[in-house]
Amino acid sequence: MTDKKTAHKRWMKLDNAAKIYPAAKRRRWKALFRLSATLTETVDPAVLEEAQHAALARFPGFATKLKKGAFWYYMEHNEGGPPVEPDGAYPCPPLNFRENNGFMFRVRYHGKRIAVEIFHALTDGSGGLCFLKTLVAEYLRIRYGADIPRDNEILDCTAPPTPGETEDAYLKYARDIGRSRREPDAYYLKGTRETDGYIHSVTGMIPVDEVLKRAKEKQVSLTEYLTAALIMAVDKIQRRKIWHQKLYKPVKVCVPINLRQFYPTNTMRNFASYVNPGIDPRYGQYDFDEALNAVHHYMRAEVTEKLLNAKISTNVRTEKHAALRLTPLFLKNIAMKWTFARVGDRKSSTSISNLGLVRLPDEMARYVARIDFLLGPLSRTKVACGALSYQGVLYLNFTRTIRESVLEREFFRYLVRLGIPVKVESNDRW
Amino acid sequence: MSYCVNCGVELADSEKRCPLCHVEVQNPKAPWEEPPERPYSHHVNTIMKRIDRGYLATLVGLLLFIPCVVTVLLDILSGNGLTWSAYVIGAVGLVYVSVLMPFYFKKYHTLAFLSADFGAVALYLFLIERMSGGHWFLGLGLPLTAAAGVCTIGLVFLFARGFSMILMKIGVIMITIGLFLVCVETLTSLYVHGAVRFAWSLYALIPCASLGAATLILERRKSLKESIRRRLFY
Repeated sequence: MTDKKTAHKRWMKLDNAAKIYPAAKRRRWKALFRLSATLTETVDPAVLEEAQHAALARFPGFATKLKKGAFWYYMEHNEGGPPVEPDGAYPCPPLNFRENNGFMFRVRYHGKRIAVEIFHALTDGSGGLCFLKTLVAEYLRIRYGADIPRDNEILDCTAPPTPGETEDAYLKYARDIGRSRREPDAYYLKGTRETDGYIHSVTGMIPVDEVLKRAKEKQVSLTEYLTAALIMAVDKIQRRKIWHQKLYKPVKVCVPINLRQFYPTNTMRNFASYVNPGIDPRYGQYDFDEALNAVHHYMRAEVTEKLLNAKISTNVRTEKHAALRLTPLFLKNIAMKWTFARVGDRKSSTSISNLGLVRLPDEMARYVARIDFLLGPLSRTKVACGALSYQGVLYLNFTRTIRESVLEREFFRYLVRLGIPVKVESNDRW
Repeated sequence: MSYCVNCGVELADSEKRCPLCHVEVQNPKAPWEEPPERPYSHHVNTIMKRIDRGYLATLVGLLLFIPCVVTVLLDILSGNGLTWSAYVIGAVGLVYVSVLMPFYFKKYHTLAFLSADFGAVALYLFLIERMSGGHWFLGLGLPLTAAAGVCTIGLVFLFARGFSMILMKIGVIMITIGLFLVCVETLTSLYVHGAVRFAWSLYALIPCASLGAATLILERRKSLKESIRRRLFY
């Protein structure tokens, strides 16, 4: 796979969005997310290891380890691969790079399920999904001899990676004018922290047609509909916990936006931005239609190429600032840690990341029964939601670091009240 | 196929109870049985353990023990018995209660810890009075400590109840400082002169209360706040 003599020279800079994650990471917390595919038969770990090896050849960004430079972190080529390991009782436990052979992702299996857990510095949800699809395609090729057609989302592992796949699209597409990131802090959920670090996961499985039908009735997108329902759930919790209306804080939900829809790039690295639609409950009690209206119009206004570009341009300008570039890494780390603690996920009450409809070619789909997307625990936000649709089912995966399942309860009950059937599954301890 | 009677959601076969409200599955037609495979394995990952805070506190406590022993030895060797070293022991005790004690608990119990802090301060003042041979503790030291304690605990509880806006916090703190200074003068004049006389504290109270009230008003006037921000931005 590699010419060992030159391997040590191969390195890449972290992309613009990735730069904050190594600085913000803590001993017990790293920004991770997880994608998993449930097959129709039990997973063979030996074949999975072979498939991982094959897939890594096409994903040079994944075959790296994190190194410290004088001014920035960077990624250096890493030989081999992380150990393929059995899945644990909960998703996204803290990832120790050293124990993982230096790799910043891990591949896990449990019964019929293959899961990848990825450090956000490597890629975003779309890049991760591409890696999972390619890994599963390689697994199916080796295990069953499946001839799966390759495209932009299931990469051909016999072909070399293209330069576009490893480009920092933020740098490429950012322009000169940025816009302020300032916005008020949002209400955040509190709860009893699990002392042993247990991460709870609750999956809601919903017929996607049922939600789409209701979203179309209201002339909004599925993400907007779910976001509004989530806002209503958080709003209800805040109203119960805070004693006076004047003390209410805005209820906002962070919605990551895939920037690939605006630019012709096939990068496998981070290329996403976010918006924080929400309501301010101090102005009165919103009903669902009002919240939906607020979310819909906010998203229509904010999710445009111009405004999102201005948002990423601010970050790129900061990165390019001469004084900042010349600041030693240890000082940058302190500053970035502080910035992350002050800004990070304080501006939203929770997150919902929707990867949208996942399609697989028929040759592959007959082996794959289910696909899930989970956000690992966030820094301050206690509950987060990852969503995707596959074969007519919308999988809503909530992960939380607190004992109380209050947000999921309110959210799913809300959907049930709206007439949407929900089936739930969890990793709760019996 | 079972449904939660509380939440109305269908429960997957793996669920013994509703993961949303924790009500057990009650389906007489299909009693719950452990499925052959759970969504996640039983194996709990061994993750990096937390630093044992209690152990850390004990370690620091032992280190603090060294100056106590050294000063007591020096004091005894100088032949005057326990004199100045008592102040060191008292100070170490104060540090132990106010800084190290919370490390032994998983949660920061605000009321208990703050009460313990001010209790420790009062005890230390009492020790100083005993060692220096004065009679000021009951008349001055204890009431002043109690007043400071009430103000601090009051502020902490007020903020915990939701006074989260920074200007509101500043306003309340200013007014409390003003009132505390009046309290200080009242207690000192009562102790010194046996009667309440106001000389300087009102001069402190007026600006503190005015500034506090101004910030509270400013907090409510969004347009004024925005206008100041616009003029002072950098």
